[in-house]
Amino acid sequence: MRAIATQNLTKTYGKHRGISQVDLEVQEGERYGFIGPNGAGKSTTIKLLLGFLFPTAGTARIFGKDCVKSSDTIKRVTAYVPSEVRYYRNLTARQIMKTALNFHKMRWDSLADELIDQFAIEADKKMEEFSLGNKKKVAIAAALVTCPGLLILDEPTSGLDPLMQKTLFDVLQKRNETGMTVFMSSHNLAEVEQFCQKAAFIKEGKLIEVAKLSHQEREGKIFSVACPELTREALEGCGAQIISQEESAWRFVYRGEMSGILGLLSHYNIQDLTVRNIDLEDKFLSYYESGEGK
Amino acid sequence: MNVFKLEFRNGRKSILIWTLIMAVVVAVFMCVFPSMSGEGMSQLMDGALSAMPQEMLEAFNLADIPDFSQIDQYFAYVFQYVLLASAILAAVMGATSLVREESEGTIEFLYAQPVTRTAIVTQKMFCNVLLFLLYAVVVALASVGSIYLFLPEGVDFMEMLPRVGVVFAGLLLTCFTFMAFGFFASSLLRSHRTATPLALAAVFLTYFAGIASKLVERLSWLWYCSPVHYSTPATLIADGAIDIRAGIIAGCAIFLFVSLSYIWYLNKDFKV
Repeated sequence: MRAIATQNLTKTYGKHRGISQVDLEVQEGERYGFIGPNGAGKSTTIKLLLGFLFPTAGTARIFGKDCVKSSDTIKRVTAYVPSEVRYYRNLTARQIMKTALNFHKMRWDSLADELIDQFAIEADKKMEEFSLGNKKKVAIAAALVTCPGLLILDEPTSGLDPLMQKTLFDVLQKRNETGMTVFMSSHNLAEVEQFCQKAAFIKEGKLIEVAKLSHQEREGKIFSVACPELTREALEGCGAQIISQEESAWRFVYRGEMSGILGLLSHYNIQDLTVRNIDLEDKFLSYYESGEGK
Repeated sequence: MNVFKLEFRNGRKSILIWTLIMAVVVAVFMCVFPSMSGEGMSQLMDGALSAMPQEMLEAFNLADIPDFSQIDQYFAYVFQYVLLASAILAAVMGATSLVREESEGTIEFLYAQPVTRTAIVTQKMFCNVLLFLLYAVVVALASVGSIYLFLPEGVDFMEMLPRVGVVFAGLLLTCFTFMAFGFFASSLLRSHRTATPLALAAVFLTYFAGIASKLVERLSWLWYCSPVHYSTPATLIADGAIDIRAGIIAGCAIFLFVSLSYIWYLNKDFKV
């Protein structure tokens, strides 16, 4: 079953661009990253999924239910951690978690205590007394305590120290193993690469690619070649996508069979050659710097 | 009832402060009654009021120069200011209720829970009505208690009660009209910072419209625009009942504003 499915999802704010014709598909049990620079439309997409905003066109479904018509039903199995946590200032962390449980008709149990311990939350402190990172921890605990089938996180590690980031991903990993789908937007490409199985890239409100992040399925290698005779025509003719060229130093992505590019390079006098797997940062930079995907 | 509980927790402190202040104001003003009821003071007040222009007397609901030696007339005079303050309180409660969640960002917690927009509006309205009723009950008890304490000889306390009751019925009618307007405004507004000024403007503009209706004959229709004037305590005590026109207009206004609040809130994009 698809945990999230959007079709042609569009949101415009008057003359301002929001998102345009976004088609997302997140399978149940998947760990899915949502990547894009500031203002690309990540938060708008999340807010459409949660019913904070109404779509201008298209549809969004969570576990098969329409995000506009069945928002409250969807939220029985969906939890959300916002980027900037601004919860009720006069409530304590414990009261926030209890309130979330009450909304889900659940009782405080050992899981709640466990989350408080895992995230080192000062449960009886008021939200207004917490730092940014501690507020984020409360939001994560309040989301996880309801045992959601889908957890949506907007910049989940912002404000968290490295130790707490590790705790968060350990907890998410364990929950994922028991079936929870994770959908997270992030600027931190390394954490998306390490944790997620798939990532969608959004740019200027449009989805430009969905990439598989498992190493076996990762497409392409990054080549750095020093060769004065090498030409753009030869590389592009072979299917390489040039990232940069400075005098005789070439940097390009190659996604075809290795024998093809190595065969080409064997005809030249190569002074230096390094090959490495393409990583998420390369993809990100190629999409957002080279203008690809526009 | 989780939204109700959150709203109650958020609103209880300010309503407690308002309640205490208004109860003390009523009690303090009523403490002055024994000195106002003396013959010398009565003549002094009559003289001072007679010297004022008729228009000014109309504006301050003193046209039929009240006899401050009569406890019901004195109470009615004092209570018109309580009514005005209560109308402001009700309007502010309504106007801040919905929009505060968006401008303080708490809607990101609230609406991420399994709750409908209809439930949010309904429970918030219910909670604010209940908080206001608690306020009104305490102020009513303070009023009745003060009247009982300073009741002059020869005045039947039990006869006073129905008249005080009508004054409070009028207070509820006026204040719930402003609260309903406040809810409608709250569903429209983008920030709670504008909610309080808007609520104050609504109360004072309609109040001044009501004054204008008394001062200028051809503007007499403006009376219908002033919920505060529907419940002028002196009139209610004299008539012993709420004007039927006022009841109908206020009822329709409450229905209209509440309906519009739901329609707008159920179809708006949250600002988060």
